[in-house]
Amino acid sequence: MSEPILDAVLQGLKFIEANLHKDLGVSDVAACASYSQFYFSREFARHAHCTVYDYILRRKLSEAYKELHNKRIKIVDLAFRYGFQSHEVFTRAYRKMFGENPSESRDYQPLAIFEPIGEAYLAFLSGLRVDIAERAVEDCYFEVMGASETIESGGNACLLVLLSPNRYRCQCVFRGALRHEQGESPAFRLSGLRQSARIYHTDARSVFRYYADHFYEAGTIASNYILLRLQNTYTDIILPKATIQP
Amino acid sequence: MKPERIHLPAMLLGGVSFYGDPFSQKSGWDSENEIGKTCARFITYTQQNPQRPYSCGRNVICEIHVYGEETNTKGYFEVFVGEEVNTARLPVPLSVKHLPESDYIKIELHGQEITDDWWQALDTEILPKFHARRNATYIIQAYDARFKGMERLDDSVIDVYIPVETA
Repeated sequence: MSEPILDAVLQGLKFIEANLHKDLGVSDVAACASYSQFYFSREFARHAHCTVYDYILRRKLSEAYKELHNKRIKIVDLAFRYGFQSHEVFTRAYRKMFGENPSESRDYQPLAIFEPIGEAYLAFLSGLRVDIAERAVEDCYFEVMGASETIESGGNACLLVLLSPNRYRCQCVFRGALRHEQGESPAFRLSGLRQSARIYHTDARSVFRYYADHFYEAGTIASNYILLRLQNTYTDIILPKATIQP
Repeated sequence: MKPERIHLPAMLLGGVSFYGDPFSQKSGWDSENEIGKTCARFITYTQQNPQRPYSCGRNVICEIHVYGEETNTKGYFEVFVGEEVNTARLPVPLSVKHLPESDYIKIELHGQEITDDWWQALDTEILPKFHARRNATYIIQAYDARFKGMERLDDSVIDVYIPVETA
């Protein structure tokens, strides 16, 4: 990475990942990068789009969440393993992030998990411009041209990400085009749409991850899909108000 | 950077404050981060109240960072923005900050130095050079007519005061 501070942010991210099981503070991360805490915090938030403390907390909780779903483990052990001072502090933070108590965790929710920021994703985030503006989108048809299990970057099409009924798991991704009229090809009729954000980047996978990490709230969409409309320099995130009608 | 050791009497400041991580919503030197918003709140107040008999009228805006127990762990601290006042009996929208008499390292920052990591140089170079250590958990950044705004950073100068004692 060209900017020295960007290298330092990456170094800080790696340091956090290597020390998730410790009682880690913001000052420890700044010290590892050899910058003052104030300067490092400000630059970290500018490039990584979250504060150092939020990153530490969300990463600890995300790894704890995975462990809770993969292993038989006591919640109190999990809390101490990730450096939380008590079962209560852990439970409160967990509930705030995942909307449920750790003792009640049932459905695995991949979209609620905050994955580590690596070098490529940090390069995507750094300097990213995002406009959050709600506006209505005309009813239309999504003409299906192909499908895949995951979001593939590249191309200048529209992607319809079909979610699981709980809206926290990506089931499949349709690639296609938006039409005002229904044609010969198979199409979904989409209505009651609203644009939620315009993200000035066209790497669909990173754009979707960014949206999921920062803005996605499963309870606020009325149906189980998210539309990504890729243009030359930006991607619009479009959400449904009504159910999908194939 | 031109550091010097000076002595300042106790000061009474009146202003507004924020507590938390000021970069949680907007970062960098964005005027929409919580430091920028706190400055804007105070400036708006002074514009709406041009007659302030309690003001010492020095035309200097002080931005004070007060560090505490949650600073090292969570990055939370208090940002106080205000001006020197002659009484603690202030209008309700303002709060009072009393800064004790102390020695200070005063640093004059020019242009890009303002946004550089001078904090690191402070701890690693400047304080050792003056055989000084911090004696309180706050710093003052003073903005006067020499500060032309972030859009004219190259033409701007600010003063920073770090309370110290002899190491």
